[in-house]
Amino acid sequence: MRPRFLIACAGCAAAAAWSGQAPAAGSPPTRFALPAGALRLSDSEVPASSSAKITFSVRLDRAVKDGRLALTLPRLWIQRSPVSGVPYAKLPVHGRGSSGRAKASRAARVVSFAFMLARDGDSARFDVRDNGIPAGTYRLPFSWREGATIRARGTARVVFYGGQRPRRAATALSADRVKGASARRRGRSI
Amino acid sequence: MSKLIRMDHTGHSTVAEWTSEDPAAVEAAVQSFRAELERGYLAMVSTGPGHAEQVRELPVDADLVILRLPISGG
Repeated sequence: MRPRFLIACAGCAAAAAWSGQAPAAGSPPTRFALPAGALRLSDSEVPASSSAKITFSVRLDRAVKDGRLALTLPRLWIQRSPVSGVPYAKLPVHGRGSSGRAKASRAARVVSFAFMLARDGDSARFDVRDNGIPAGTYRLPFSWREGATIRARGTARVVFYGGQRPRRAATALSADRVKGASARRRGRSI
Repeated sequence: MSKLIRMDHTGHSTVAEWTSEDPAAVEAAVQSFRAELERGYLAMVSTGPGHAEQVRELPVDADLVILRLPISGG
C-alpha cells in the first residue's frame, strides 16, 4: 500500500514523478523523490529499544542555487522520558554535508538540509540515534523549498516495532520459494 | 531515590527503585538487575554529559542505571 502525499506544486511537472518508494510490501517508503533529488531514510522500520541509528539524507540530481529540505521530527523524539529523565533520542545539532555547498542542521524539531550554489551529486545527512523511543509509527512531514517557493511536501513514516518484526505478506516469488523448498525437502522438483 | 530503568518497547520502564538505607530494596534491585542482564540487557551508568560506563554489578550509589539492548544499526 502506498502512502498518500500532498503535492504542493500545483501544475508542476515534477509532481507526477514525486512519490515514495517502498522497499518491500507493507514497509513505509525509504526514498522520496524531490524536484531536485531525493530524500532517503536508512531504515523506515526498526526494533524499539535497540539503539538503532536512522540516517536521513538528501542527494541532489541537478544543480540547485538555493534549496532547502525541512524535515520535522516527531515531538516525542526531542523530549525526555518522564520516568528516567533521559532523552528519547540522541539528536545532534549538526549533520554532515558532502561539501561546503551542502549542510544539515537541527533547530528544535526541524532538521534542515540546505544547499547553496550546489551541484548535481551534492548531499547532506543527519543521524538520529534511538535512546528508548517507544514502539509506534511516527510521521515526519517535510517540505522542499527552492528560493522562496515550496516545491514539494510529503510525509515520511518510521515504525519502531516492539517484539518481533512484523511478518510480510507472501509474494508470488516468496510463495514459489516456499513451495520449492518444501518440494526439495520431499525430494521432488517443481 | 535511585532508579533502575529498562529501555523497552514502551519507552523507559522502571524496574526497581531503592535507597542505600533500605537493604531490602537494594537486595530486590540487585536481583532485578541480575535478571535483566541474564535476559541480554546491558547496564549503563552515566559518567558525565555524553559519557556512560557499562557495569556488571548494580552500583548502589548511582542515581540512575539504564538497561539497554546491544546497539544495532551501526
